Amino acid sequence: MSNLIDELTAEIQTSNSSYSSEEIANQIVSLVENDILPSAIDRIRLPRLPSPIDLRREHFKIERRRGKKDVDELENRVKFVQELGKLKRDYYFSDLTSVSFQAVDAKDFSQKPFFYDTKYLERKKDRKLTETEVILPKLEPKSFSDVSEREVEKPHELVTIDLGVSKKIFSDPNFERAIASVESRIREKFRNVPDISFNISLRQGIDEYTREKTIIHIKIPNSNFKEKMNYWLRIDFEVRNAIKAAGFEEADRKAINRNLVTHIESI
Amino acid sequence: MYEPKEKQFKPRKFLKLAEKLIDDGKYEEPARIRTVVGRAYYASHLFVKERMKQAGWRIPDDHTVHNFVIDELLDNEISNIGSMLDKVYEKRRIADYYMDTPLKLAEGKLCVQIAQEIIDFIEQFPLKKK
Repeated sequence: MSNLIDELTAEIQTSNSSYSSEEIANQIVSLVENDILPSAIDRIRLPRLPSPIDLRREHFKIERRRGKKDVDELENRVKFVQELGKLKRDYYFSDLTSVSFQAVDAKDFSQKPFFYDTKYLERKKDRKLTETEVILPKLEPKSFSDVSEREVEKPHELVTIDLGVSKKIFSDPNFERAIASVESRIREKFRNVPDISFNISLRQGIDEYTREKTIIHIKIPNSNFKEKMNYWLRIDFEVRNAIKAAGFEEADRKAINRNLVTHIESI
Repeated sequence: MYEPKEKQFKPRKFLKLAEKLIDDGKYEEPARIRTVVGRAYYASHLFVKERMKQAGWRIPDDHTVHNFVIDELLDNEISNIGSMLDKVYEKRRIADYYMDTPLKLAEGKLCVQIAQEIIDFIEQFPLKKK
C-alpha cells in the first residue's frame, strides 16, 4: 500500500526524471523538517498557563476534592502545553538550545553554556570604544555619535558554586548526582529569566553543628515581592523534582531533601 | 497552669507587632530590624508548630523543635514552606546572636513578608501528615 510520500514522489518524478525517487523523497523530508514544520509550530497559539503559585494551589484543591486521577489530568494538560512551548522555543532559538556546558572559571568552578562564550566588553569610563569593539544591541539602533551608549554589560553567571560545594562534589557521589541534576534543571528552566542568578553554598546546621545544609540562593534583583515569591515556589518545585528524577533510593532522597533548601535574597 | 484555648496567645500577634515596628522611626534602626526578624520568625514557627500539632504530629519540647518543624515540612512535600521557614530561621539566628553581621532594612521587611506568606499558605492548605 502506498503512502502519501510515495504518491508525491511518483508525481514529482514524472516531470523530473533525472532524479531518483530516493533523492526526491529526501528533498520532501528536508522541506517538511526545515520549512513547513518550524513555521507551523511557530504559528501555534498556546493557552496561557496560570502562575506557578496558582497552579500549585489548583493542584492541592483538585487533589483534596476530586482525587489523584484528576490531578494527573491537570498535570498532563500543563505538561503538554509546556512541551509545545519548549518545542516552539527550540525551533525559534535553534542556535541557542545546546545543552553542552563547559567549566570556565577555576576560581569558583561555575559552568556556563557554550553559547555564552561571547566576547563582552567591560565598562571603562575613561576610554572611548572603537567602532569595531562595540556590540550592537538587537532592535535598538542608536546614533553612531555616542558609542558608549551601545556597550553591552557583561552578563552574570546563571549558576555559581562555592568552593565548599565543589569539594563535597568530589567526595560524595550522591551529592554530586543531586547537584548535577539540580543545576541542569535550573539551567533548563530558568536560563531565559532576565537578571536571575543562583549561588549554591554550604551552611553549618543551625543548632545542629554536625549537620551541613546546602543552600541555593536565588537573586532576582529587579522583581517585586510577589514575583519573587512566584519564582521561589517554582524553583523549589523544580529542585525537588530534579532530585526525584535523579533516581535515588527513598532514604537517600529524603536525606538530600532535608539538607537542601532554597533561599530568595532581599536584593 | 494552662490557659483555655481561646485565651491562648496567638502567634499572629507577633507578626502584627513586627509589621508595625519595621517602619517605626521612634526606634533605632538596627535594634528595630533585629527585633522584627525575631518576631517574624516566631510568628511563623509557632503558627506552623501549632497546626502540626493539630494535624497529629508529636512535637519535641526542647531546642530541637526548630529543625524538627523545618525537616517535617521538607519531608512532607511542603518544601517551599520548609525553605521559607529555614530562611527566616537563619536570619533570626543572625539577628539574635551575630552582632558583627549587619542586617539591612530590606532583609527585615523580607522576613516579615515571608512569615506572612507562610501563615497564609498554611491557613489555605491545612497540613496533612504523610
